[in-house]
Amino acid sequence: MSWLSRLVNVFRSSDVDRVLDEEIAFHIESRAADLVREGLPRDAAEALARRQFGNRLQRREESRDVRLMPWVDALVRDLTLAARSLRHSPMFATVAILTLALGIGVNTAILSIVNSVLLRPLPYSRSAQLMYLNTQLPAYGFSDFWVSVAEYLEFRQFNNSFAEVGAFTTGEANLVMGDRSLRVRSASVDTPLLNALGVQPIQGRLFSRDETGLNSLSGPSLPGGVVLSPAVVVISYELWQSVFGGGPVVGRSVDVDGRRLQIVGIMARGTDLLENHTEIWLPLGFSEEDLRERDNHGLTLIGRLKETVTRASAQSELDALMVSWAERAHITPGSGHPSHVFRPLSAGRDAHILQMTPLMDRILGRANRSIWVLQAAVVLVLLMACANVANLLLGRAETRQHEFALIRALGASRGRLVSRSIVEGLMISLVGGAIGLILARPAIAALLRAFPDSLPRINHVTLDVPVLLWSFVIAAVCGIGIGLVPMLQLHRGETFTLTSGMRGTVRMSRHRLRRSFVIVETAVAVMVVASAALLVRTVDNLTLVDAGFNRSHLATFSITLPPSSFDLLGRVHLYQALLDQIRSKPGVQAATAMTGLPLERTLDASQTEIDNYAATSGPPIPSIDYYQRVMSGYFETMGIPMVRGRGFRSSDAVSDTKVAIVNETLANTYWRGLNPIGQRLRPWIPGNDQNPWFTVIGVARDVKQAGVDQPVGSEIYLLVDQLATGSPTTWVAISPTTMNVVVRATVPWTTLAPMITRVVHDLDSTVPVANLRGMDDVFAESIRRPRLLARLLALFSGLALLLAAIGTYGVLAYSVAERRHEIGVRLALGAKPVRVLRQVMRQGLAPAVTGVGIGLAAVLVLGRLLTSLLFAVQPTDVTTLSMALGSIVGIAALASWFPAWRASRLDPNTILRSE
Amino acid sequence: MATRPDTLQGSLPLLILTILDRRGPLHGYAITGQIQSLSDALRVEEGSLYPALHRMEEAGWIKARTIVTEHNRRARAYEITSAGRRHLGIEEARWRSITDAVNYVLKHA
Repeated sequence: MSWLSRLVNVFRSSDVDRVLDEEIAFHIESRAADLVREGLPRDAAEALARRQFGNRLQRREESRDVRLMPWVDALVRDLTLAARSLRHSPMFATVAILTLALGIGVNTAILSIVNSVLLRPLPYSRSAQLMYLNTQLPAYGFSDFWVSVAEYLEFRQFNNSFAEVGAFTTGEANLVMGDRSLRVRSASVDTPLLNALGVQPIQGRLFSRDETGLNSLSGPSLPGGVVLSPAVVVISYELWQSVFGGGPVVGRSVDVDGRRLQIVGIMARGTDLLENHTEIWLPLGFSEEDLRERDNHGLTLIGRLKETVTRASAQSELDALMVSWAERAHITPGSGHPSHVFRPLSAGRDAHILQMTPLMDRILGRANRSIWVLQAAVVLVLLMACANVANLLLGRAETRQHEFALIRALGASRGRLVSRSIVEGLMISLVGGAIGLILARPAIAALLRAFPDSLPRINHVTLDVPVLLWSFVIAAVCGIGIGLVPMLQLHRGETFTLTSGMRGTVRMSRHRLRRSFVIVETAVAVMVVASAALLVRTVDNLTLVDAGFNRSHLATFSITLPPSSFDLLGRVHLYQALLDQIRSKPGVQAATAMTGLPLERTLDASQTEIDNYAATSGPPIPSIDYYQRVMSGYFETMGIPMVRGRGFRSSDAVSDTKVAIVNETLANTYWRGLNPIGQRLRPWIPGNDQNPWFTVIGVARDVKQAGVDQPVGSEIYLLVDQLATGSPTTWVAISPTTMNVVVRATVPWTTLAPMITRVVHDLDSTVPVANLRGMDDVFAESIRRPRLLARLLALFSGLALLLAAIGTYGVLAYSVAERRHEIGVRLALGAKPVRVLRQVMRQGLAPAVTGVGIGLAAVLVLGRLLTSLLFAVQPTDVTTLSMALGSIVGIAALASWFPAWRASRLDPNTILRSE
Repeated sequence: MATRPDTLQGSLPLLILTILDRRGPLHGYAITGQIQSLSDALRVEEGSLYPALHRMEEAGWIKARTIVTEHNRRARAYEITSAGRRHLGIEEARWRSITDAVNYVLKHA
């Protein structure tokens, strides 16, 4: 009979019973019939037949026993025994189960992050075929640059590897519905992009071929040569639910950036582009002029590889294209717009390449490393938890020596003892695991609330079936592991004896085992605590970075005045009116506005003519990384000191001489050794060949632009107020549509918030206030990921320290209890309590110190895996590591001190008398 | 999981296997009858026959199927399997060697 049918028997015993009953009934009937044939009366025959068969019920039981799996029976017996033995020592059971619940719970939580962020495929069909394409300009230090319209369309034509390549840009837009206005995240996409991704609407349609791409744009032309894309919009499922309440919207019109757009479709739930959090999808169009400006890079591409094409072959085609591109596009490489073309890396300073990364890798970025570090930390914590519980079990196994010896003497096999022990381990770990799972769910929710967007895809983290299965496997492995540990002694050939004590080597080998647990635990704790300390130092360093301005007591928000609703001068006047009103409010010390918010800026990288620049070492074509257009009072409000020259004055606003301020990096890059004051530069303005020259009047201190951990790029400051006074042809495109307002106040930003919202609403009710927060929040958000890492690692290292303390304490307390007699004798013979204390302490600290040594070695070897996550601290940083080691030795000392103190206070009389 | 035959005590399985091998499929009652008709000395305790049959079925030496008797009664008939025949060979040889040895001792001691 197969094991399966045996197992089935367990659950179908009534069927088995029926078959047996029938069989026995048949036997008795046949016998009775034979007896009747021999001449007995019927009833006497039946009675005799039954008597001859013997005890019918008992036989049935015997027969049934055979058919049920003996090991199921044994398992049930083991489970009952384990449950009983755990019930009998509730303290032990509670400590063991809670320890593992914590260990398994944190693993489940981190595993769900690993699963949802790193392992789950992107929500597009066959997403492994999707590639992200961007460009590199090594001479300018740009490794993650955009693609121009010409480059994009040529690539679509030249390549043979991609089934489809599409382009997109991302941004923000004002959405007005009745009297409500809000800022939404937008993505402008062309039809090939939608096809490449394979996304579908759940209602309505997406964009048609002629609504996007070249020649999809039309008038009426706005001042500044702005042309309009078709008046259609697709909204995200999420926006449909939150703003439109899930009602019928397809076909309705909505006001986006001052234009009436028709909602033609609703995107499927959860559809996004990279991590844009897209709320509205707009058609992306290009003009003939865009096509001519070969060096105006603004697009990002996503392509879908053909089914038969591998990444490697696509890459080699791409490499070959870089070499032959100029020839195929009929372009002679040189300087200036028309001759801008891809050149391979071998072209040195003229190199400009298109590069490809799997979309998934692009989205994950460097988050990979962070998540694996967290996973490693929780595995280490779990290891410690298991070591602790195994240690507890070992201690119990010793006290249960007599019980085991009895069981053995009564004939139980060694295998039975081992299986009993494993079942006990499994019971602890599975109950602990179940509690861990219950804890993991709210822990994940709390984590998502505290650190939204700190990792890519983290807002979609869920505890799903694969994670549950993995957690179960982990719990089972832990259970078997800790169950086997007490049996290790058994397999060393140790015999259980029925005598009352154990002497000599047995005890020593047990001690070695327990001490080695403490060593391993301490070593592991060192690794966890050291990584946490390094990350905490990193966050400290990031917080202490001087961003170049005084960020305390600053509130900030942004407003967008779309070109369709405001003309150029109207925008400037509204900004000025807004600032005047805010400045007059109580509690406000100063207010200003600028185009780019420090720490959150994206690269402008605009070609700029610069006087007296000889391109010998710097970029071949002078290019300024950041254009900052500011309102009056900018440097004063932000607290940015001038290094040379002066800041903007109110008289500059009406002066005929166009003035500019540059940062130190720009002055050092382009006018090394020259006096920057009085130098001239000519900023690039799209669609304008006759740009005015600007004269430098001051050099401002460097301000961080893209993040506290990022290097400072070259920056130019232009005064919006001055641009508004010139003739329309000169300020034409420099009047910004989006401004970030900063307010320095004596009151917190939360107090200012109602006033700001009211002032903006009164000026124009269609303009939403976006991203209103304190400047401190801007800083906090910019270091969200290292903070998440540091917090979690600090939490895990707290657990690790606790477990290490419990482990050290447990082993020592046990050993003291065991040596009570010996210590009593020594005290009776006149040993000083201090000496006993010192000796026990030494015994406790010795394995801890060995563990610290091993852990330190591991940190020195593995520490470089952390390097990319650290800022301004080396993984071998002496101060940080000594602090980590010190805390562990301190904890071990504390954990040893208590049992040592108790040992030294033993009363020899009581002990000796009790023996 | 490998099937581990539970320990079979005594010579009952040997007798059952021999009878099933020589006489073909039989139900439990018929097996008792056969053993008794062949030898007065060997008396099968009827109640222990069925546990033995079920153990042997589990070990794969015999297999059971439901048949209908001449009196139109359903009964479980047992049949020897090829594994059972192999086992019979081994058991028979073992039995012979033991009885030979015992006989030798009885004769020569």
